[in-house]
Amino acid sequence: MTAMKINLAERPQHSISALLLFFILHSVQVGVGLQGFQRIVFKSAGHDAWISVLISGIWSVIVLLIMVKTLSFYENTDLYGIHFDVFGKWIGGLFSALYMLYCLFAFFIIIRNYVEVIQAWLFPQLDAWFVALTLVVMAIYTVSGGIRVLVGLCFFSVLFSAWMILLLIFPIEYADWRSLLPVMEANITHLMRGAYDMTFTIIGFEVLYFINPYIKEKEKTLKFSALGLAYTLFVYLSVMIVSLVYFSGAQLENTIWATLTLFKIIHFPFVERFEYLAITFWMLIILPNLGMYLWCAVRGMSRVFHRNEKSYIYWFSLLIIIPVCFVKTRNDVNTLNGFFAKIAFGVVFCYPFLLFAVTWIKKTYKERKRRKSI
Amino acid sequence: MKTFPLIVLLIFSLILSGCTEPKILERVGLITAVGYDDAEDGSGKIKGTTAVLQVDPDALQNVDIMTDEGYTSKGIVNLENLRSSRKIRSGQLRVALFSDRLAKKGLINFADSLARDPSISEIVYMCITEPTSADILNHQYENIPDIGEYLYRLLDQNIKNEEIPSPTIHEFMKGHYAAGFDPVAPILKRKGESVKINGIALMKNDKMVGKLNTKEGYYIKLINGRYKGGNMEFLLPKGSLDPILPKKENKGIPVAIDTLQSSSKIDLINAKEKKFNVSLKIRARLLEIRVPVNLDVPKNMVFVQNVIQNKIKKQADDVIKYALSKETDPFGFGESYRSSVRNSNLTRDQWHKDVSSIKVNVDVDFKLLRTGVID
Repeated sequence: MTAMKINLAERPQHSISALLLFFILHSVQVGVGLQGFQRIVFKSAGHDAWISVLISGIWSVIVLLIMVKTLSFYENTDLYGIHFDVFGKWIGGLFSALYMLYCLFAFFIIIRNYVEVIQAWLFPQLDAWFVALTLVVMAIYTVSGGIRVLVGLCFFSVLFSAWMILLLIFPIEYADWRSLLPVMEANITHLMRGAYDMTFTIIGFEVLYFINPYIKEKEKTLKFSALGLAYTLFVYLSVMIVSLVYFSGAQLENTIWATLTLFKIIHFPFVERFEYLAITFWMLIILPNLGMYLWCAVRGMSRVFHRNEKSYIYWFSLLIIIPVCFVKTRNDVNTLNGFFAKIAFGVVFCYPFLLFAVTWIKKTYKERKRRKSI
Repeated sequence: MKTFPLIVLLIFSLILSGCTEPKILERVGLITAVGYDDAEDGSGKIKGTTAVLQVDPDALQNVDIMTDEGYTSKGIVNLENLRSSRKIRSGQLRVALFSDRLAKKGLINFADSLARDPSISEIVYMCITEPTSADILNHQYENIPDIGEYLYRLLDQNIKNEEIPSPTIHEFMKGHYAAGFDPVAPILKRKGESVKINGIALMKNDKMVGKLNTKEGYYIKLINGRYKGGNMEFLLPKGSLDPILPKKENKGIPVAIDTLQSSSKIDLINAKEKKFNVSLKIRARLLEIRVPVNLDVPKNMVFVQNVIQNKIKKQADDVIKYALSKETDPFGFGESYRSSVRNSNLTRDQWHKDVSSIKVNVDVDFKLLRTGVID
């Protein structure tokens, strides 16, 4: 391993406007989790689940703040650069490798969950590897297009799926708003537990760590990122509230993909079964997630290990398809999701604080040293 | 490098379309209605009757009625496949019928099976039949080519006109699982060459425990606030309008009104004694009154109004009393209780135990806004 550059040289042809962070972060956050997060949170927080969603949303903005602060210690770097700087070549390299593994794990989880939905709702006989392969090929296509293609995909994904929030009007017809009362019946432990259960659904904004070097106007990073997170929170909150009033308690607990079941009630004279459309459309929503996570992992190969990025796009994809075939049952998927959520909670919600602390200490230490030498 | 995945994608899109099982309209039979009864031999089997629509311009009759006995509803579909030249599919299912005998034993297994199947829509109507579902589905109607579609239109029309509460599978499941309210379902009965909505079945969780006629069923919607407007007919007690009539009436007086606006509010007055107050607010116009009453006089109008108001109050009281005596709560008092009492931890079983002892007071605010274009 040769030494790596901590700060990346700015290349104007690769840089993107800070405004696009809104689309990037929102599109990576929204994904397979949105299809069925309701019952998991409901089990912890009951009909106050929407408060848990709110808490987790606010928490995510706090973490974002810490992330932006950490990145602002440097001129123009990503997480791999920070790792190298604060932990050194070996430990930093190990941390980076672990983070890459996390990104690949996320990539895998998204594929497996989407495959599960396809198998449960549309094509029960279809093999998992087959759907996975199709998705992976699309992810390869976007990632090999480079960061600008990826960001473009995020942008269009958000734009083209924004109308879906309007579909919540249809289930409201069957709403019983009393279901939300009394507010705050769950105690604070349950609410926090519910917020913790949101992890799987709300993660995704950690890609800011990797996209940072490409942002043109760094001073606007926080503003647009926070806006993206706020929009995500708005979407989650609306879906959660509508689910709470549309389903009755125990019914929601039994519904695996409550958002898709919400769509089941929608029917138009020309499309009788709207959920089929929604499920297939969901591919557009998860494609940025897949692309982003694969890109983050592949970035690591070139940044940390100085390998050729392009070939690892293929290697990593192949690596993911194989385990997809071994996770077969609904139970396996659930267990895996639970396991991933635990890891993600550590990686996304706890680690940034540690990293910030270490970076801050290092920076003040350096500063003091510099002053002394003067 | 970039073109390679693109080429793979293009090839995929060409060859993938043949990958899953095709369902060609001409080669499938579409179940539009399904009915379940008890098997007559008492073996615990269920008898399923399905109306299968076939899209075939050459066929003399487009709808096949098939009856089979099996242990599960899906097993019955398999048996029907054995004697069908087309693959039978349930994606177009619109109406599910259950005999009242079956309904008294509980419908959750059927409803669960319907809700579990992603190919079945959430807006399948669940109905109870008298005496059996087979009686409705098996009959060769003179003027009804497709009984499944007919039943769906019949129910749909009446639900949209607010005559009966909506009994979709979603609402059934919601009511079944909810702690504080119970589902209802319309009762269908064959009358000669047509099918009639004969009443509303009251369910306790998933079991049918009582029956209201359609006029009484109207009050369920009115009280739980799901009602927007529609026609109502009353038989005012005899003599009730005598003070404003030219001569005494010795029969009940039929009156028809059209509700323009209505709202309902259920308040929990006393949580300990479980005392509720229902305030109904109804604004209506008079459509028909079968006695010569001079509505030109405002005093008479108010009089009629008050008599109708009392009548509504009495009927609402009766319906509530009847439902509660059957330990079922289609009105959602329990939901009202749960939502206003903190940490009540209300469960379905607990509420069904409590519900017969709750006290409900009904306040009716009824106003006749106009009487049509003549006085």
